[in-house]
Amino acid sequence: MNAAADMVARYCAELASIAPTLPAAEVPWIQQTRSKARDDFARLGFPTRLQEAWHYTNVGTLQRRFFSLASTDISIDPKAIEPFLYTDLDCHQLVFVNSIYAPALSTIGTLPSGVTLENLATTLAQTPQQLEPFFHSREQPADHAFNALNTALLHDGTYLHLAPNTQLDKPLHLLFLSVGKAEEHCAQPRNLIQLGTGSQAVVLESYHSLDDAACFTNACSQVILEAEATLHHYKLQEENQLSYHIASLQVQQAQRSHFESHLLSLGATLARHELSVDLNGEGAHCSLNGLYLGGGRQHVDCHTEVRHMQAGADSRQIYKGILDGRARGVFNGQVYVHPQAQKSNAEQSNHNLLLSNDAEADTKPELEIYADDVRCSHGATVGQLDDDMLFYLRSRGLPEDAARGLLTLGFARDLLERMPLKPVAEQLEKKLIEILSQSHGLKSLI
Amino acid sequence: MLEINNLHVRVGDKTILNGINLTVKAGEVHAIMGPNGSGKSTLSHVLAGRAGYEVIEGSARYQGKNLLELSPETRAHAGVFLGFQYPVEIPGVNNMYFLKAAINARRVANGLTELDAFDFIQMAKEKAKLVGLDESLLQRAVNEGFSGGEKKRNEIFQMAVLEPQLAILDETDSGLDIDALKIVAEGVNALRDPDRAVILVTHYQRLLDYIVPDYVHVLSEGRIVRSGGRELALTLEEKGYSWLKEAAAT
Ligand SMILES: Nc1ncnc2c1ncn2[C@@H]1O[C@H](COP(=O)(O)OP(=O)(O)OP(=O)(O)O)[C@@H](O)[C@H]1O
Ligand SMILES: [Mg+2]
Repeated sequence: MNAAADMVARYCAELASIAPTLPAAEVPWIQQTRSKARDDFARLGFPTRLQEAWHYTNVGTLQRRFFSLASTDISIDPKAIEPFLYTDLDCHQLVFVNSIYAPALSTIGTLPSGVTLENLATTLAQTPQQLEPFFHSREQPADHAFNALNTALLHDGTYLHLAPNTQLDKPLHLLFLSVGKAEEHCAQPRNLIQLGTGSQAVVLESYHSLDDAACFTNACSQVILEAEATLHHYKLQEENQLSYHIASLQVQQAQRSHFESHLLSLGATLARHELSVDLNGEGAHCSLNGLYLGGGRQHVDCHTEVRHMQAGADSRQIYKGILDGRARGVFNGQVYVHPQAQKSNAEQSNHNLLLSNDAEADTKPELEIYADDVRCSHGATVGQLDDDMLFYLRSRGLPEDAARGLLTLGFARDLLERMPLKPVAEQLEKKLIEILSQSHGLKSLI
Repeated sequence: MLEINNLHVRVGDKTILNGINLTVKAGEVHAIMGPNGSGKSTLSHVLAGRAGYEVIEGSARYQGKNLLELSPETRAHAGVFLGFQYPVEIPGVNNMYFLKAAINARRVANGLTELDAFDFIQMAKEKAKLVGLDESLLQRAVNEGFSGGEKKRNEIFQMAVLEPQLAILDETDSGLDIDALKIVAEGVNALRDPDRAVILVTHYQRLLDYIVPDYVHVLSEGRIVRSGGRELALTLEEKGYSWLKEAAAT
């Protein structure tokens, strides 16, 4: 056996030994879902660059070390999470430490009627049948190793359900914290969100490290939007520079539902954000926005996959990368338009700003269009800061580093402005300024 | 204030400035005219410190310092201002935010305290009014989507805020309607004082009706071929640049 297969076997052995202790271990369909996923993972192993979807991203260093799946019991000082909360934003807040729910740090508060919000372990233990809509494709062989790994554990995370015509009164903030000092750990949260017809919610996921140890986050979120439901989803990824972050967000949209996502990826040595949206109903709409920063030797990979399955749906994607040092950014955007999805409207753009000569951006749009009456557009650029703009700012007295910082922030600005939640946009802007200040001396001026 | 001596400048293999001599004293306004492609913008850019130009001979001294070895921002801190012929659009960078950063960078470089947000906004609004710049433009991205005339007004607005010692205005009058022209002229005249100097690059003597220059120079093929007073502009307007060539030939 080679080293990679050894490692897969080691994960599977640990999964098998943990299985009986997991919530709902006695529920047959859940037990089967887990064991099938474990088999899938054993068969698939970690992806290699020979696979099209992983062509630009090598998980070699991730699979060379073992990150424990066993649940940890770590108590955290509430003060330690303060930096990760959104000020000026009243939220329902669920906090997870190494993907295990931390009730002492969480505040769910009172919920409007029609809203179910709890940690997933609770749902698994008490009302697992509610989760079936998320797992009905469990008969088919999986082709996604990381999702399989996540399902094989299926232990904790979030369950949010809104009855028809219900509005979640406040944004839901899901805060995922990694701690790896004692043992390198793999956090595998699973977030399951279902919005009934005409319901509305705002969900923020954020991922942070509490120490400077390497961690592996393998997150998986699933969203089901029934007709005319609306979800705004924000994600901030800011784990430390030794960590690995692999995440998938899968969205199923019924007719005239709206989905809007805003991603800001800052951390981790390797970050992969997959976002797949199935526009299954007529007139569904999705707007996917992403900003990814890389410096040092960071590698950040954004994968989107939008499937137009029915007529008259709209998809808009805007992703931007800012890459410094020897960082590498990847954007792979797939758009599929089914033969019967006439009058589809699909736009996609990816723009990359390289701040150093050694940074690299790969951008790969993939359009598969089988309907004839559609409007599809895509555009991709990779460039550097504009010399004329730099000179203009400097000629007014801005030092070169500040001018570069200001232009870089300007490049990202439209993505911040697109965020409907202003307190979030402002806080994320501050974060960007802070990061740009480290290399660009912006702070002194702002 | 500014002494340019036998300045030769090359871009790539092409020599664009061929021995410029020009002395500008505090309190003076100099107009530079000349045919398209004669090197007026090149001279302006070189004075402001744009990269890409190679000085092959000659010098430029500003307030006794070798201007050409200073970075663009250092020149700005020392009071040099260039009003661009083609102001660049800068998406995502707010006009006010940028100008506040600029003015404070200059103040800090000159050992002054920074302006706080309130004082800055008061001052900026006042200046915007002075140059007839619509206040809504202050909150937009720098020049983005501005009309040609609005861009030029924005240049004058920035000049009014930064109060430079030496303002070089490269065709700030082009593309302005007659009212805007007057306002720009007022902006420049408001700045005129015994400690400041202005270099006006223009194609139209009309501007010089409003900003009366002390000297008019004609630049041709990278050289100043004629200097005179206000009346030189009128003669040029009447006779065109070919007159100069004929005059030079005889
Ligand atoms: N970067 C460059 N590379 C090559 N040639 C250049 C460059 N910049 C300027 N030139 C050339 O130098 C000459 C002078 O240009 P400049 O822009 O200074 O002229 P100008 O006098 O300002 O003209 P106008 O009245 O049209 O504004 C032109 O022939 C121009 O094409
Ligand atoms: Mg010019």
